[in-house]
Amino acid sequence: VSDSPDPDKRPSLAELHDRALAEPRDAGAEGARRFVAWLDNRAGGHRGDPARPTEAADAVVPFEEATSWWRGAIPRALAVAALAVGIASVFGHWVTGRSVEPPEAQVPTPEAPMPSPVAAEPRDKLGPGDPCRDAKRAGGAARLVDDFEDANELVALLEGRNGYWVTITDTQQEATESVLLPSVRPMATPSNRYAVHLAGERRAKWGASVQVEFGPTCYDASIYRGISFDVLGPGRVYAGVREVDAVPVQRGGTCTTACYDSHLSAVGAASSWTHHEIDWSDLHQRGKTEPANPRRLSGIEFLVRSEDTPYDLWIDNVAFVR
Amino acid sequence: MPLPDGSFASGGGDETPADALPERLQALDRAAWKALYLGNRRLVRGVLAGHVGYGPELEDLTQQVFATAATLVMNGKTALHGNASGLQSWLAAIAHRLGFAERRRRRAAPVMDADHESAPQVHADPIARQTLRRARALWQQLPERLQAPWLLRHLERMTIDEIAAALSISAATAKRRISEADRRFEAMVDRDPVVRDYLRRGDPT
Repeated sequence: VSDSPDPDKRPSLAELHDRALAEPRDAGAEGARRFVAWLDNRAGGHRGDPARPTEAADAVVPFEEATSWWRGAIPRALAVAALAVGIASVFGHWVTGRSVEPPEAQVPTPEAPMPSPVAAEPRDKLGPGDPCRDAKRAGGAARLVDDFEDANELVALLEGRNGYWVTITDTQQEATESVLLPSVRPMATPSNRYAVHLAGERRAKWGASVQVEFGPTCYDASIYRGISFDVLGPGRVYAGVREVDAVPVQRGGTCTTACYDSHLSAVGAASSWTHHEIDWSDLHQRGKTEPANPRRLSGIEFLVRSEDTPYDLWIDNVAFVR
Repeated sequence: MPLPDGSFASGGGDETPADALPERLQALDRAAWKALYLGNRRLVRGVLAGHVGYGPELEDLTQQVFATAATLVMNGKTALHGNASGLQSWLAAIAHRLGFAERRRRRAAPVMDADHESAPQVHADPIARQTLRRARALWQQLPERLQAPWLLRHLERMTIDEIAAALSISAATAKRRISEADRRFEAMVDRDPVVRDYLRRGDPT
């Protein structure tokens, strides 16, 4: 491992980097063993199998501890959101220039029981293979989708919603979305530091998209009347929802042709943060007039069409509205 | 990484044809995931090290990267199919984003940490260790959009196309960002006597 400090034989930065990463021969195998043990544990639960014994339960524990920040972020996010709501309730007019909804419509505190999603209705009209037979249904008391203050890619885990913010552009192949982490937003405040940033060069095809799919394949948000969010530009973004009927069959939807056609509405983004609310009835697929069906949601999407590129936009405080 | 015969070593006596790997990962085949882990562990650690250094926490973060990848597949957020070569870029992208998140989480932690001491195998020459530490600090001063291209290109030796895929940008943009990062990094090196003297003596590039 040691080299002569002969200046003429000094390794390059890349070689120094390689050497710093050198590790004992069995470290990779040990790491793989931990990972596979974790995978056994998680994949068993994911498939709904009875708990399968792990190869080495002791190996799972340290890793679970190591990843605890992930789960710890959830109560932290809830606490931050609750704090932000409290502050916004008092200083609402200062923060957004508009009235803030009463506390009953806001995020529950970590101590408060989360509303339990119930089965979507009516199931009897849905075919046996329809993903909305097992839809999760929003309860209506926790409208926040994500305020990004936990600085991670997960949505707020409320009302059965469970998904990651991802981004994809028209130069990527289908289903190669990248996870999108929040960034420190312009005009950040102590209670509102993060937002998602969409920026890029000119696009020649359909543009660029930021989206989140809720964990269940089909999500029923019909208790709400639409979505809301804050946006900073300048520019234009198409915001709205994607129904399961626009998601390809192989990804859990029902679409077989011309997929990914979301129900969207154009929103102008000013050079200062502006708040927008869009009703379901104002969301349409391109060239169509039928409004979005909030009983059949797959997720939320923000789309920058090619004609609006290059682009440099920020999105924050995504929520449902009642 | 693919073996010369096009298969992937899984480490468990099983061999996965490279082309079948995405499908097997999608099916949560543990041998395939193990092969993915073993084949890309070095890359993931390299990307993370740029963000957090070479300390012992690298191991846990490496686990997190693969756990995130598996979770994305389990939750149906990422569908794996087709070309196995995209997996490397996919993992590099996750590692980069997790590295950023970890850095942000440690916001107050100074870059000039003790990683050079925890990685004495870097080089017997303390100047070399200090150079690596300072170079990483300089790298972290690059604009965020330039950090990953520079690291993936110069330290992880990825191709332009791989970098473009990992960062969801075009190859032309990747090239442009690398070029801009090189220019800025060189300018910073000129102002850092330790890194400058190390890099310019004996011309290690």
